[in-house]
Amino acid sequence: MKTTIVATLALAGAATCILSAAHAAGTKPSADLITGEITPKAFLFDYFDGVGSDRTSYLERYRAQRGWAGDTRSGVYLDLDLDVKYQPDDKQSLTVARWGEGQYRHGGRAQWDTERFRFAANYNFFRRSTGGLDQFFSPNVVPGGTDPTYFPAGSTNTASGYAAQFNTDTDRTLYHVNRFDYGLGFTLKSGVLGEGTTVAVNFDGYLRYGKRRLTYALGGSDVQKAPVAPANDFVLQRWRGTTQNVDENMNRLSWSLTTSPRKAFNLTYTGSVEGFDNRARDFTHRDVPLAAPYFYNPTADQTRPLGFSPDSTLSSHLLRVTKSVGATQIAASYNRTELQQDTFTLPQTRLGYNVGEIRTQNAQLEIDSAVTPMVALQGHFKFGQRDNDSSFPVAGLLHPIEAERLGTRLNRLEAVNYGMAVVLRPRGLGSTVTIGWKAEDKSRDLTYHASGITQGVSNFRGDTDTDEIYARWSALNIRGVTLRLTSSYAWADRTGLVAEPSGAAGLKAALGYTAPNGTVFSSYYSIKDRENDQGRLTDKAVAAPITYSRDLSSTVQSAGAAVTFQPAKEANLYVGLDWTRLDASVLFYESSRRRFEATTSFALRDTLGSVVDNYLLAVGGDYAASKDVKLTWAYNLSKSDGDLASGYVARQLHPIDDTLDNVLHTLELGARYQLSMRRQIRFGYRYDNYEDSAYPLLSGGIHSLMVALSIRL
Amino acid sequence: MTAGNMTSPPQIPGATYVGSAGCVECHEEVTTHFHDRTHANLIATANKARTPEQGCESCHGPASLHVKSGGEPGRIVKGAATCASCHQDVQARFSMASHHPLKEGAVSCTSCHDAHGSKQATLTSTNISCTSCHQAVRGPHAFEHGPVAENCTNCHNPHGSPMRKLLSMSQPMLCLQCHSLPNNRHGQTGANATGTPITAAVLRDCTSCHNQIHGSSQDQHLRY
Repeated sequence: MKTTIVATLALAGAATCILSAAHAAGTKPSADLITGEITPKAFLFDYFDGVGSDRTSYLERYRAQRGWAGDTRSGVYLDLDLDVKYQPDDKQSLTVARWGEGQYRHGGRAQWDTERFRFAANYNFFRRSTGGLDQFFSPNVVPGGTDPTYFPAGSTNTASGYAAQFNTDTDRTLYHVNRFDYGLGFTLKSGVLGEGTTVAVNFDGYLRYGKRRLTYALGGSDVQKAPVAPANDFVLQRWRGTTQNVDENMNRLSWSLTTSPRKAFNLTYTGSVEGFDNRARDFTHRDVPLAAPYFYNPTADQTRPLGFSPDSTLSSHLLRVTKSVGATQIAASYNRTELQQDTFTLPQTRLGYNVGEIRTQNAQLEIDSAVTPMVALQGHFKFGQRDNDSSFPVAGLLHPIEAERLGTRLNRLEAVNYGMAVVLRPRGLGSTVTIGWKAEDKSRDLTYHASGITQGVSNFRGDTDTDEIYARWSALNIRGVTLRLTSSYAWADRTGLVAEPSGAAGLKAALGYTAPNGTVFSSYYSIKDRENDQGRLTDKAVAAPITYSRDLSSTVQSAGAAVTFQPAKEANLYVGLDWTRLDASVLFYESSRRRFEATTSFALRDTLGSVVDNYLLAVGGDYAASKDVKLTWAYNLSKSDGDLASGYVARQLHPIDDTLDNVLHTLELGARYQLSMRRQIRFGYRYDNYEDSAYPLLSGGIHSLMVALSIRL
Repeated sequence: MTAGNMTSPPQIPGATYVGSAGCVECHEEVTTHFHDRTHANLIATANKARTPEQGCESCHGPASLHVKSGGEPGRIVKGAATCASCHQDVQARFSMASHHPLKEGAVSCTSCHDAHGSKQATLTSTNISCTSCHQAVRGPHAFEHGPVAENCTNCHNPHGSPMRKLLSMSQPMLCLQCHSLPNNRHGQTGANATGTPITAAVLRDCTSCHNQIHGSSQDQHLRY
């Protein structure tokens, strides 16, 4: 509520400032110069069939509401939309707008626009409650989330016994995070600095605050017990969860210049500096709440962080120059960013890790030349570099010869992209055909752990070399028909990450038709098939090491069709259907030990597959019942179903974790009645019902009702 | 430049096309250098004989009512509707269970994409775009997670996903693409051997323990 008031006051303040400036400029507001609309609104909402207000409802995750009486399950609240414009003459205007649906979702903007400059302010407030849903999936809540067989009675298992128990320090379930974005912008138009030259300065940022769920697993010797006998059950205290405050502030100042010196070339420069401030108290291992007979190992480092997020500063500069020479366009760009870590953990400071720095720079050259009206050639070359200039090595923290203290470090990534294409526009066919080739070569400077994580057992490789050929056909509005068809095939001689494809094929097709009577039909289909058969793992345990392949594949398909038509002069209808399928297959490997340990052997446990379908049906329309009455309706159905894993993993997981089977129905009905020339009353009803067969506890629905009176100025 | 087209040009009831000349008066900072940007390819000029010059209206719809009203935002196609006429598959993803709250008004397409710019013009990586809002996960991290450092989309689909947290694949499959599970920390007996049972408690949600999946200040295993 406090932020709502602050935001509204800020917007009003900005509007007042702008109005004052308008007055100072010698103009006087007049009622007939003010246009727009003011819409006071009343909302009523009522949840049904779901969880109580002590837990987060699925439908609250992006649409949190709260009544005036404080009830989050049933209530009434008021809000106000406004969109007002003051235009004293043709050369300047002032606009103030606000929209809102309760204290958790609202935004606004104010803008003063003249021939010479533009001044703008905006804000947006949004509450996200997805963190509350995370609690439904907490290990201590979900069946199978913990496994007592990992620490049977009398056990002394200290290696994996932690999985038998999850210790939560809070029963809180109403996690949410609020985000309040704000911005101010000033643009000096070309009338001031010359034709084609604009200068803009912007300031923006956000406040982000709330609470989130933090889970963590302590090290094997972090927790102890006195006396130890009869069992080493202190291991059961290692896996924990708690509530972490979120309190962040980001501020960014950016500036840009766009100009065309003597019209010889176009130049754009943008720069920015942004500071991120994490104001929440940093958790450390000292904060772990252990009750007797358990205690934190006095020889372990209790200053180690839990969920640390550093303050940081990012500066960025971009320069782009373009020039046309005859029928050839040339563009050159250069971009540089520098990310600095501003705060450090106590162990980092103590151990000498005092520089956290990531630098990137990119440069690109593009050429586009129309050889003839029917043939064009295009080419591009891009170089990118990412440098990790942070402290390294740091004894006791980040070191290539100390156990559990490195893994693989990405010191530098360099990527070169280049390609060319020919564009054909056959005369009279209204079509464009593009045939192209592009390539990407990545080179990584990696430091592997000296004796442990060698390249043979690492997930990272030094090089990626990928080529891609593609063809695209675009047919433009031929007798109302438009068609786009793109196919591509990529192959890699080397891949540095398993997630990069060694082979990928794609097809995208879109077909549309606009009939003379205004009926619009559109459809699309796309498929992207990716695989990687180049990943390898090599045993470290035996004299004659065995090498295993790391194959994976995935296919993403989507298709849809929509039609909009006018069944009668007073009515419009639309129907749309979309389908997406995500299909993936990966290999499940287990190893005897962790990779940095001396003797690690691998074994293929299973091949896992996952197929998930998502369907979206949207129908709706509007009907002008009379000159003064307009009715609208819409129905959306969004359904997901499928298996998230197969084989061994599927047999272990509870259906909550293994299956998707949910459907969301949304029905919206609206009516507008024109009371008079300047007054319109609006009614809106919305019904949402979420049904989750895999996790019925998430099911539930909500009725929402809105009444608004729109007053036109 | 490659000419493209939309599958269904946006319509505004009662409005007619007026051409791009009027747009320059108020939107100069957009129009001045637009001609060499990616979406300039979409301008529907190839069929002047049968349809009027559309220019900006190719995406924003016929602008006569917008111009006549002195620039009222409600009388022109803008926001997600502008993009959806071509990117229908992307629009569908915003109705999936996990999505960036575009329909709810918290973000817009232009929060991440510059429709009047180009990939080449910005030169920024996907990660820079994502962390312009999600600064809390950008680090710098002493212990980086390689795929995260290179590209957020190795694990996330930013538009929407049936899986929680915008993941492109659910856990544990997402993680098992690259990682093997060491039995002495994930197996039931904790033995230094393969083949022992590994149960749901450690398979269902890797980030329950490896919470600092985007990078850690302290721990190679990204646990804290």
